Amino acid sequence: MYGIPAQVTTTGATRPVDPEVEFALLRAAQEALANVARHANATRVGLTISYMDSEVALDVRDDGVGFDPAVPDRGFGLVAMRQRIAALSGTLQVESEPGGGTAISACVPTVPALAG
Amino acid sequence: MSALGDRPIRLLIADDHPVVRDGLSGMFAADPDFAVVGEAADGSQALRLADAVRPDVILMDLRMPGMDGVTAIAELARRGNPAHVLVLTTYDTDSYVLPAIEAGATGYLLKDAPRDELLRAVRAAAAGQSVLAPSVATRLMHRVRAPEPELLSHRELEVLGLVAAGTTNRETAARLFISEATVKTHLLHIYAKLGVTDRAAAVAEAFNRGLLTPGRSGAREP
Repeated sequence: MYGIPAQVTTTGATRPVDPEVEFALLRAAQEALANVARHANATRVGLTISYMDSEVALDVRDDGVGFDPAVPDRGFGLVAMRQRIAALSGTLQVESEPGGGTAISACVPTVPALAG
Repeated sequence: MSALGDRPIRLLIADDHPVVRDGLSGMFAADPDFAVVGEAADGSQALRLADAVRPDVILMDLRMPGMDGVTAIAELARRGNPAHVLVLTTYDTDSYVLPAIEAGATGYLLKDAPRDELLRAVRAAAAGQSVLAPSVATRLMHRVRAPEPELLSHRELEVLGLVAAGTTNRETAARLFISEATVKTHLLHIYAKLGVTDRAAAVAEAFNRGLLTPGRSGAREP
């Protein structure tokens, strides 16, 4: 899409995850890839799904122009993304700097927390 | 008394040294329980003969010119050849023992084994029983006591290998083209699995447990 080659990598033991988790990660991936296409001017984008023992992380990293994460959200949809991930007790991290590409990581636990 | 009822145990000897083949051949020929049905000077010849003469047991040297013993053992297993392979070699280090056993060797003896022990081992191998030289058995015990190789995932080993090579989280993230956050998450899991609290201890523990080997940390270029 948008002519940027995207490389998809899966690490760890793949397994089915909660539909809610799957949906949130899918939306995060869509949003992150759309941001790369719209803003990053990247030549490379990598999407990595990391299955770990008790969580799944989705990383989208590009080698584009980057931005200053200290500058308030410029409507990249990060707020909505962050809320969806937080609702699943997960975390959303945005790492970027001008000229240094951007990495977005959504990490969600796959083992339900015990009540209380 | 033969392990196979009234017929002798059919034996194929694979060793690149003619003197060794002659010595073994003569030793087994002196005992009516054994029949040496072939001699091979390397792995590929051993494979051809194993297909042709269908031995019960193959005495296999590991270091031979051309195809080595481990490759031949693996190929025999792949072809479904029913011969039991008894490794007879000079070497008892991990780099020989483990690959040979993993490839499908039934037993592993060293060339300093006494005559009687060798005869007994071939009988046992013909019956499908494992025979291991004591030093080899010790190595395997250590291997069993060592943590499962799956303790760390492939990606975790990759991350730890980069850490061992002195790579920062930031560089590791760039190398793997993922976020630094995920690198840190991998590290936390690695620490928990190894029972350590920092990267230096994780690297030390990984070397201690043989999860990483010097020069094979996964990050250094040759």
